[in-house]
Amino acid sequence: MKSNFIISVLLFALGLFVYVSSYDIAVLAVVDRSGIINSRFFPRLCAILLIIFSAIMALEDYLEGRKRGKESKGNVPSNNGIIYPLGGVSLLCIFYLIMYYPLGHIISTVIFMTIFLYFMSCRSYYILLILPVLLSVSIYLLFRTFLGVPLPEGILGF
Amino acid sequence: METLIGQVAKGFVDICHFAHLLAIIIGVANGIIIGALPGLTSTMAVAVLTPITFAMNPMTGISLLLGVFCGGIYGGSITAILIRTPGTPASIATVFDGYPMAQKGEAGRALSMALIASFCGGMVSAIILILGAPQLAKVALRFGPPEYFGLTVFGISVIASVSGKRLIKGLISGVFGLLLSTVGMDPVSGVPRFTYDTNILLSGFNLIPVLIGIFAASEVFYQAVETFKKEKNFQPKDIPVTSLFISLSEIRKSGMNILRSSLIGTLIGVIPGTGGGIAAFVAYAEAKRASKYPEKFGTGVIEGVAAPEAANNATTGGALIPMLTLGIPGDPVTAVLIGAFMIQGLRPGPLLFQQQGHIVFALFAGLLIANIVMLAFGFIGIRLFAKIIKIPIRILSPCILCLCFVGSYAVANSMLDVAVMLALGIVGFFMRKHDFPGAPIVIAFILGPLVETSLRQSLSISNGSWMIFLNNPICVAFLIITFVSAGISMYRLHRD
Repeated sequence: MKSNFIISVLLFALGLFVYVSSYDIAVLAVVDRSGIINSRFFPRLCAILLIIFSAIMALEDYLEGRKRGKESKGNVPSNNGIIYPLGGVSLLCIFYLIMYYPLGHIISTVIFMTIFLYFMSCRSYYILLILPVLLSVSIYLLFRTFLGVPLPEGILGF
Repeated sequence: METLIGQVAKGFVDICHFAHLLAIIIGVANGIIIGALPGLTSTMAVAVLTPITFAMNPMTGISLLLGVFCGGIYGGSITAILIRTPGTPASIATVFDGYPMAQKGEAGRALSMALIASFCGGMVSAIILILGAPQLAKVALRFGPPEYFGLTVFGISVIASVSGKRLIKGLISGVFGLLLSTVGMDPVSGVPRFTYDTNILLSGFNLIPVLIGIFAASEVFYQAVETFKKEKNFQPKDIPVTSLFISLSEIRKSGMNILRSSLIGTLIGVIPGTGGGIAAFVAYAEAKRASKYPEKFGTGVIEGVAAPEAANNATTGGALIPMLTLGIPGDPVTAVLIGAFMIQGLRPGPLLFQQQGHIVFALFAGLLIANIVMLAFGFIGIRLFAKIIKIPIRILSPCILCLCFVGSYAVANSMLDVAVMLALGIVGFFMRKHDFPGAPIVIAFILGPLVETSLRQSLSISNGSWMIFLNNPICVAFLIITFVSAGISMYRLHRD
């Protein structure tokens, strides 16, 4: 499978990157008396495992692909049609993330939920208007007032 | 023995006071609600309600907190089953089979089994707490770094059980989780790793945003995209809730599984530094190993819900054992509880049993009653909880995402946590698209620091000799069980 091969290459590259980056980790000889088992050991072990496992995955897919021949093409997970919905949902979440602190919990949540519901083909005005306000205010009251967990106040100041 | 029975009976008489019972009821109800909210753990539930107990009678105050503790652990399973969002880290393993059951219209059965298993786990651990607290505490104290290493390696072997059809993809997910756990300060020497000279990454990634991202946010993205792809004017998938309760024969069938998981949970709970999450993973792996149809685990089998739920609730009694007998807090919840005990003038430790034994036994009785109250609340709430599954995805999705944001933010009031949750949500979405399981990431992320710390501490003790692990009988036993368990899982995967 082509997509799995690309993933294997990316994971292999990630493993190499982590291994190389591990040289930047400082080592305290006083604490790590056992020599090689220092601060770099565990990230390196993980990096090596990632490199080995990604190579095994690529090999498995290659062998399986050869065995199945053209049949394997039917198993490729389709990415068709996900760009618009995933891009839309991700952009909305990034907008929410950026606006959450400056606008505050209540306003940002109301805006986010209204747009999200509309994006998800919800056309009921009752739901579009009432649900975001109800949910954001109840979450705010529950967390901030009853549980004492501070949520961003933003421009409303409460 | 007569003395013990007499003390327990007197404990029941002492706790059966209107104020104490009301405190337990309020505590359990609050615990269930807070535990069900993503991002709020049972530790936070106990911490939030501790100040309320300052003005109370010691027994009333501690009863309330024990109720919160029990309810909080159970509450986490409700959202884990219904919306694939574990309310607490202890409920992560409940997602594996609980959510598929809900998707098959068996949300009520899954919730019922979670409740009954939680109740049984809590009761078994409370009884063990009463009968064998001092003896178990002595065993737990013998756990040093090599024993912890054996235990955590055994915990990590669960990855083989939750890897799905391709073990290699589960292993890659597990290594990715281990890598995530290495970001921040090195747990042994305090050296910063992969922080790129910034302060915001010094404390590493918090567990809650990681688990919310991998389980909840990725699921919301997946459902939203799938719904959108199918048709623009879509009709939400109608999941019928076929049955709300389980039959007695089903409970009987799961009896051995629940008992075994309860014992696992109690024993792991006794060991300081472990907790409900590890207990649930180990119990799940054991239930799968012992099952006649292990290949069905992960597709929505009721034993896969019973095992982690019995184990995580059994840690409540287990965690109280070192706390009450030795004054050692085994996990964050008992650390908060110790504070609450001290504020009430009770100093946990060996002298507590001698000087204020009547209070201790009343609290043991309170723990048993808290589990009964939890059972009652659970049964009342199941009809209501199960209705969540009937809400259309297009309406439920933004509500869950909103809870994901608030839950991630509430952990440390940090937008970085929210960004981590979001990023892992997108990573989790693509992992799911390409059949990479998400659970190994979270398992490895939780156990990674424990494995590394115990490994390096052990080797420091032995001056670098790996024989320390083979010279330790408890460690050897854990390693043998690990290899046997992983070998069986691999053999079954190969066979299937």
